[in-house]
Amino acid sequence: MMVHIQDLWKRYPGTWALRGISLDVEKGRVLGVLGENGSGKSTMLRILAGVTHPSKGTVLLNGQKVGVETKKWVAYLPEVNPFYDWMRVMEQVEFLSVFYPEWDMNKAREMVGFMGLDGDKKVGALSRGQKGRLKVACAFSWPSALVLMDEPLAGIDPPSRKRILDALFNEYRFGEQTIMMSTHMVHEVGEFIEDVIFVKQGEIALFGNADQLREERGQSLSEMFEVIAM
Amino acid sequence: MNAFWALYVKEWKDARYVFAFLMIAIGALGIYGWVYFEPDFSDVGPRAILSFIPFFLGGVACFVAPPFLLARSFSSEWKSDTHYQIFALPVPKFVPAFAKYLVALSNGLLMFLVAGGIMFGVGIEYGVKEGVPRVAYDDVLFLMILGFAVYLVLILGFVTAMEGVKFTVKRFQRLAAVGFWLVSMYFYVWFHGLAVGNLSFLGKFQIDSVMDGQVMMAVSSVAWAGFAYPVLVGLVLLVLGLGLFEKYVEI
Repeated sequence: MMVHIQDLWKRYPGTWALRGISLDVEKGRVLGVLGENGSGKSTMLRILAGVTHPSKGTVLLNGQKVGVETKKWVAYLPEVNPFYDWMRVMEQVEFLSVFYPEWDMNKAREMVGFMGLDGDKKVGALSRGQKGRLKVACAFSWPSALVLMDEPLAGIDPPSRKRILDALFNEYRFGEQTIMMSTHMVHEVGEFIEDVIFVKQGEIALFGNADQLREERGQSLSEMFEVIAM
Repeated sequence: MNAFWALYVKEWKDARYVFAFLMIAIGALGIYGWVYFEPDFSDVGPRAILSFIPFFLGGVACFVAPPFLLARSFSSEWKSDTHYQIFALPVPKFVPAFAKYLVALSNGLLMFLVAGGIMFGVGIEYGVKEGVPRVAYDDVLFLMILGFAVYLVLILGFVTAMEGVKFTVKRFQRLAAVGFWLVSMYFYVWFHGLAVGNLSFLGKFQIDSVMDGQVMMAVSSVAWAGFAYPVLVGLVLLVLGLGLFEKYVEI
């Protein structure tokens, strides 16, 4: 099991962001994490990425506790822009390459080119869409076992979304790489998602194989999302 | 390039323009002061007083800039969301914090070497006279550099611990940082006499007088305990701050 979450709780001042979530994700699956804003999707991904601590519960990645060792093979794409604006694009990529032993600089240059980015341009001069593309370029510059993507398409212009989705479909290592992606753009990534989890107010409202759920309910993922969110 | 060195270089690059500005400003102030320095202290007129101001300003910059630059380095990560990147890296969380500390320490020492070096040059130009005994300048230089390094270790330890406290708590962060500063300063002063007394076994550093290049005799001494205590406190605060970053600071 690539991801094992058991009775996961996370408290912030005045509120519980996660309330006893339990979830298992098999290796090589693409899991869509759907839910309204503030439902706990980002919090769950941040805990898996090791940037947030759980209040209680168990989280194991490939049987290991989340920590420095698991971060070596987990690629985390937060919703925000995590890059240094003063760095040039390739400077930022080269900085990251130091920390991941399997980073492939040739692949990184190829991904930056595929995303239509100028390696000499400062990150601060990139548009929001270009920064989103840079996030995906960095994530697929090395063979990470687990990719955590928090709203990779949010606020991104349509051309950039298309590049990001193209990169996802082209670079995803079927059966070897596990992806957990939170998104509202269900209609754009629906065909890519194999399993789906709906999070509502910090709890799992629905979880299962996307095709089976569509067949059982006779609804698209977007329609299921709307019903559950009500 | 290994991970820590990459983080150190990143921190240094992030601060390079501010550091360069400060170095140029300190150097320019020092050279200006040297050119207009008035060595005739018998007449303490406006020129004599004004000639000290550039050195004074340069010295203030050396003492004030490093702690503020370190604090800014931490805060800017949160303001620009780059802490998402740093915390996701496969390194212990205290490592990026320690890199920030070392950059502030090394840049601060470099600034002081420029300011102190110019003042040392002024001292040699105007203070060395044949047949006239004077304090050994190498002793003075050693004490100046040591004293400033000790100050940096102490103040940067305070800042690291304050930042660790600030980003550990979820609410009233600045209040928590200021409160920590006040409490820790109180205990630092409170324990000073006791600690320095207990460290007196470290002995003293003799300051010699020299004339025409020959050492004459010891004219004063400085207790090593006065340096050891702030270094110990600074290191304890550094470890505390790094520990907070490692264990408790999160997004």
